[in-house]
Amino acid sequence: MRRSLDLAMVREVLTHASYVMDQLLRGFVVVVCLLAAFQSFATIASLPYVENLKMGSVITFIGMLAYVTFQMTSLVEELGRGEAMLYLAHGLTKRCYLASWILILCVVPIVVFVLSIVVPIAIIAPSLLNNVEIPTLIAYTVLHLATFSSILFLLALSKRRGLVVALGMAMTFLLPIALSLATYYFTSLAPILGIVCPYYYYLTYETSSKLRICPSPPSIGLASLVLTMILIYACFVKVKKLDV
Amino acid sequence: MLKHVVLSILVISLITLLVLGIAATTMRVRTYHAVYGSNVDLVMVDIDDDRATLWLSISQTLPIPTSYENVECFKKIIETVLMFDPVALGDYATNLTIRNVKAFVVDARLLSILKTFAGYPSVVANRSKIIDRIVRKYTLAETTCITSFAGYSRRVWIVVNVKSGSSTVSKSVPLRLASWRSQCVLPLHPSNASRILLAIEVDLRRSKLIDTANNRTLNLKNVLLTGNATMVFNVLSLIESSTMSEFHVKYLLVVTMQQIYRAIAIVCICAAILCIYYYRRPEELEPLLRIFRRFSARRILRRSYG
Repeated sequence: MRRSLDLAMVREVLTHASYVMDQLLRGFVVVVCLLAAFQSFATIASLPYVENLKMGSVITFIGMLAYVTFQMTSLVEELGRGEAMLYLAHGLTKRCYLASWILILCVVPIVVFVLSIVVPIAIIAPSLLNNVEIPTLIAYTVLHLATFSSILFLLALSKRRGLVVALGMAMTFLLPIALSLATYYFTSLAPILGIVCPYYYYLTYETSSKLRICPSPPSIGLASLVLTMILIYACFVKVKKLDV
Repeated sequence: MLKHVVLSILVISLITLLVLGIAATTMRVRTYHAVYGSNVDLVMVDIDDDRATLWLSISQTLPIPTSYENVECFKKIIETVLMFDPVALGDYATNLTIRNVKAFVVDARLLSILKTFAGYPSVVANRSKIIDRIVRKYTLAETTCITSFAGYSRRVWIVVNVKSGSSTVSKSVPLRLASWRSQCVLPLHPSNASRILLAIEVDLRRSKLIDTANNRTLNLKNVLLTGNATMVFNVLSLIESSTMSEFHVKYLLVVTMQQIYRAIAIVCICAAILCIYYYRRPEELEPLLRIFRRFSARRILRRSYG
């Protein structure tokens, strides 16, 4: 009974997510096109060195974060306009509703970003996939995107569009600058910032010798994974109490 | 959601294919066939830890990872080099249709790859001897060609052998102008770039190889550099940063036909999956068509009302 209930929930989540994705399809296709163009050019230009590919992926990664921020406003607007009530009135539970949005704004961007790295490499130089740098790069980008989305989710549930955009943009553009400043002037602050942005921390750690005394990127990654799980749990707790 | 993932892969592969196509046609990048089919003056084979690099003339590099299908091609290259018949390579290689190749430059480490191939035990044992023979071969070829310089300048070779002298390769790199059987040892240092250049120039002048009418000093296409490719690259970079404007040492983008085939294959697979999916559920196609309809509607409106 419980198993069939779970399956029904998963189906509900997927159906709603698919419906919303179809609504956001145009932006999605544009983003995928831009990502693919940048990433494939970066892959061709950086061969045979993975280091250049890492730097090239930073641009696409920033673009992806901006995309997630702006799509997050769709959730805020849907909650604000009362559209969410329409879906919830048709038997969709609040948990399923949130889970479908997490699927759209957290899982799908991660999958698309990973594909945008892996597919051009698989086409242009498949042997590079055996390089240990590529899975590491992917792991940190996944962690970063997950942490970023979960923070914005928590803010989006408060239905404050301006706050979501401002914090999203700040985390996208200002956090790398803040991290590099912290690396030089407040080194002890860098790991704390690194928990919120593990990918930027990983890149800074690789290039700067000042961070050698700080925790290594894997431990920071683990901390940001724990933070993401806590934030997602907080989102589910908050959505229960949400008045839509 | 699966359709969105497949759609993403399709779009990404399509765009990659497009980028590869643009790169191959407009950015002075040539495909495998184009690269090897053109008049390649210099092929330099360099082996790093995990990849081999074919240097095609001075300005084109073709990184070929040794881990996949190119091992066979390398085997053929080595075979041909060891047979001292580089021009015939075009007949050997099927994947690499090299034609008009004038010479090969072999890095010493390349021969270590022979350990992986059966049937070459003696080659590994006589590594230095083989390199000597290769160098001597080209030196002789070049000497022969100098006599007929006036007739056909493209066949002139100046062999500059750059070797890393010790384990610390940064400072002492003997440089040998092997073509005139004279050796001048110069440490690899920015200040020596001009001296290396001068040495080449002097030898050129002595042999009256300079086209004084056109004031051409040195055509890199006619220079054969042997030794560690990284070292050679460093020397050329140093020379380039000096007064010689003819030197253009650049990494170029390289597109191969295999990459294009791979992209086409992925596009076809994804397109087939989507076709099957939308054939079974045609109503799911609606959101995708809506994008195109919206674009076309806008275009019609713009045409009608300006």
